[in-house]
Amino acid sequence: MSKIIEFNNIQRSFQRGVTVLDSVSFSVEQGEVLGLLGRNGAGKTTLVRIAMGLLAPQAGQVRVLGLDPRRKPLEVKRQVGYVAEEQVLPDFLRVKEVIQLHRKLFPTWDRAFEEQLLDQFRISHNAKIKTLSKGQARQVALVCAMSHRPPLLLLDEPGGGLDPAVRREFLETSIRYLADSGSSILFSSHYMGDVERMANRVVMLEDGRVLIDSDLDQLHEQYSLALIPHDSGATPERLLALDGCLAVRDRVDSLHAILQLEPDSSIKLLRDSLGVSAARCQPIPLEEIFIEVMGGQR
Amino acid sequence: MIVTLFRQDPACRGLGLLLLGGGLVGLLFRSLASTLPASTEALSGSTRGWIFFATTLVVFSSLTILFQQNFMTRASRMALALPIAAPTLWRVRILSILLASVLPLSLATLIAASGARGEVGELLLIAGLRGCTVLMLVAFLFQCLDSDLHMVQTGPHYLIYVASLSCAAVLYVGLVPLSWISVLLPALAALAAGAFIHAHTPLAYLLAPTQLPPLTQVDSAPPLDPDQLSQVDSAALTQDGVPQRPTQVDSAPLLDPDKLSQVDSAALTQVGVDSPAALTQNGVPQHPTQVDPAPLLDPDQLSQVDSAALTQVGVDDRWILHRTIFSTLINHWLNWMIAGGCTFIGLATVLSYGSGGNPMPHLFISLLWPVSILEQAVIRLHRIDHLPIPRGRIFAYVALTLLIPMVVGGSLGGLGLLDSDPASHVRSSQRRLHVPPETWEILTDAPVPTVTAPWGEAYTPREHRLYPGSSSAVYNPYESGADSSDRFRALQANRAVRAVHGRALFADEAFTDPDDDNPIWKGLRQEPAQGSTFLVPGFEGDAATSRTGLYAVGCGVAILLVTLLWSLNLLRQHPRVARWIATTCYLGLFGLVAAYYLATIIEDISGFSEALLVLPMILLRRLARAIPLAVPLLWLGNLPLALACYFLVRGLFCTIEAPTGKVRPIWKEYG
Repeated sequence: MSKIIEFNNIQRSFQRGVTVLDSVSFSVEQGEVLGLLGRNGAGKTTLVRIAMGLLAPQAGQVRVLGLDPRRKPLEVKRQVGYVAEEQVLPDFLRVKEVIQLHRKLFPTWDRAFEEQLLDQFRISHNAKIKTLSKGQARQVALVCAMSHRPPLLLLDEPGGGLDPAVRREFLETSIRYLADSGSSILFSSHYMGDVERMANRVVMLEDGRVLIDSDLDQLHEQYSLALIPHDSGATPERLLALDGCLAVRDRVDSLHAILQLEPDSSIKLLRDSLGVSAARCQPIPLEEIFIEVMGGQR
Repeated sequence: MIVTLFRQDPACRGLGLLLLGGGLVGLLFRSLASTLPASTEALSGSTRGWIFFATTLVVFSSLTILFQQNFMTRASRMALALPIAAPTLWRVRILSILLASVLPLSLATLIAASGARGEVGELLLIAGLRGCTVLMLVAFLFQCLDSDLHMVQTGPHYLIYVASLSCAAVLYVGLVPLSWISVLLPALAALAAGAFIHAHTPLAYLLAPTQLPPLTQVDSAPPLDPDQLSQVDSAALTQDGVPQRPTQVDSAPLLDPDKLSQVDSAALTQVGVDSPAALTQNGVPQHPTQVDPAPLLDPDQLSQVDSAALTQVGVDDRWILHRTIFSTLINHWLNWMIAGGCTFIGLATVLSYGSGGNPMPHLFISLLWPVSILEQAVIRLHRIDHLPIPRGRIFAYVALTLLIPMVVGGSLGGLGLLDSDPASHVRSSQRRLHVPPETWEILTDAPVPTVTAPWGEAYTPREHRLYPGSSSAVYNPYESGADSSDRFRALQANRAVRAVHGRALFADEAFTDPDDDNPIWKGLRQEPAQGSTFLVPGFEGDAATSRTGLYAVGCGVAILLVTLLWSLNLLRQHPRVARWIATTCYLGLFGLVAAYYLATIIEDISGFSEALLVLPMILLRRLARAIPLAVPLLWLGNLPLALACYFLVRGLFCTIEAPTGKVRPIWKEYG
């Protein structure tokens, strides 16, 4: 598979002494859906903007579709679909005019696909952008981003501020499109459910560095949640002393331990180290992994 | 609480700056007013016109400030959620708006009137106060609609209403004769309007009107039964793009929550994504693992698409592209206000230059505009930056916006210049000879040379230090003293004509005749008894263009200065340049320009502003003399210079990063 995006030791800061991205390296393969995770200010948006050519890295190299986005900005932008949370469509235009504008700018525009998407979103061609709801405006942005059938979709917090129904429709449309055309998607999001639904790989950024770069399935296998009855003799202190235990929470019915081990290994560890045999282990949701890996609930 | 409301109001937040501006404008008018006679009867028609014009201009500017403060908004969205009565919110808001628009004008009026004497001072006071009361009335009238809403509903009708009111206000201030009655009438009307709005203000504001306009298309179908709504499937919804009423609904069983919890990530990966149906299987979309790789577009082919492909589209498409770029980056009311002002300044600059005046004050005001246009364009650039529109094309819009009003203003001024009287370059006013500033001289560590007439009368012109303690000074070599004889003044005028136009009216020896009735120079010393100005008589110079060479050089220097300011401004956004260096340079240069301009305005305080205004013109004259080109060539030379500067700035514009601001500014709360 060819590499659609390559970040190679990307560094970027906006103020002296405040590094937003520090030696970030990873790549996105063709047909891959990569979820970019991180706390607020971790550098997700900066990275997406660097891929789009809207920002330049202060060190390192970025290649998008084999091109340098700063040297070949038009060629890159013509092949990329971009939707961002803060993206503002020209509110003085009507939907059909916005579409017309994009049709002019993107030579590979697929008019039938555009019609199909607009019908799917049930958006009137004649509606003024300023009269649309936030969700509808985001859908128009998605139509604009996808109708030229780009080999790469860059989605920066695409679901921010949208209700679950609109968000799901938005993301499912992206996935469907991906299935049809084999394009790649790089998207940043705070909605872990969306990431689990869409991505097959995640990259977690923390303090401007790549903390985790893993397939989602592997990530799920690496972590487990152990439910340990209170009467088993285990205490939070003893659990935390275990190698691989990230956090322990005292719940009403049991202790919940988050372990950086797959479920079978976790059960074995609890049995061998603490003599706990009544523990149950289950896969851990991505949100819990995110919280614990990022240093817990600060 | 009230104090907090005032503090968060955008009108109050900018009050300090507005007061400073009002004070400076007041000082400027004060310095002008101090030259006027005390009696209104002695005022010439043009002076009366100037007072009207100045007041109209100030009121017009204050109206723009009203626009800036989002006058149609009565309360911020944040304040709406607080337990504060709407009348209180409105009082705070309207008071803030009035403070921001009326207070600076009042300050300017008081300062200006304090510099005038007698009846003229009263005239200025009436003009200024009338502007204030008219502004108060306009501010109230702007807000008298939709009194139950937190913000007046804007639309075509409201825009027409606002434009009509603004025009009426400007016309009233500019055309109605000055009298105290004309001050009181708008004040009383403002009080009545204020009382009306206050009486109609509800206890709490609404965000949107309760009465909506009738729908143009009404669906006659009866509303859906809520019980059936849950059974509507998405296929039915999307049919014809219009939500359909269900006729036959599949009664698909709801998912079992227990089953849902059993879906683990391993299972998710086992399902290929082939169709939309598969995506939503079990209500959980699957992520793809295998996809057919689609061939990527060849970058070489894409680069060839560029403009050739773009030009194949229809006129309609091109129009939308132009409109999008223009409306996003340029078409903002502030730009238009500044553009209108600068067109006027361009006109005034050329006209004042054509009559022998000093164009520097106007030129320095107009410097603010290109900087402002670029700043605003860069701020909004991120809205279209993700689109594949060449930056060079975007820059063309920004540059043209600058160029067109300047050319319009300059051309209008040029028309006036062609019609100007060359004799007006040397004129006398109140026994003081006025000459073009470039004919002054610079001195460094040397005394001002004394001018001695052939008959022995001598006068040493005053020196004007560049700044307090400076060893350099400028002086007017054609100046005469209060005690100088008429013959001496005539001699100086003759010398000035020679310096300006290249040839004198008479040889200096002609003035040796002590006879006061000598017909040769008698006309030169005459001044109208009432009027304050006389032009050099008898001069039918064909040398109206004698200053055009200097003006060509001045234009070239202005191009360079704007380019420098633009470049520094853009370098601040450049990713490869340390921002603090570029910002320091930019602020330093801009600060120098601002300080220069302030010093020239506050001449009563500084006492050296004349030197600052004259010095650039003297240096320009030296530069023009150093360039061995004829006037047409000087003008032609500006063309490659402008093109080089254009491409330099364009290159920088193409490499900057568009700044983005996620945080909603406080004043947006009022929008």
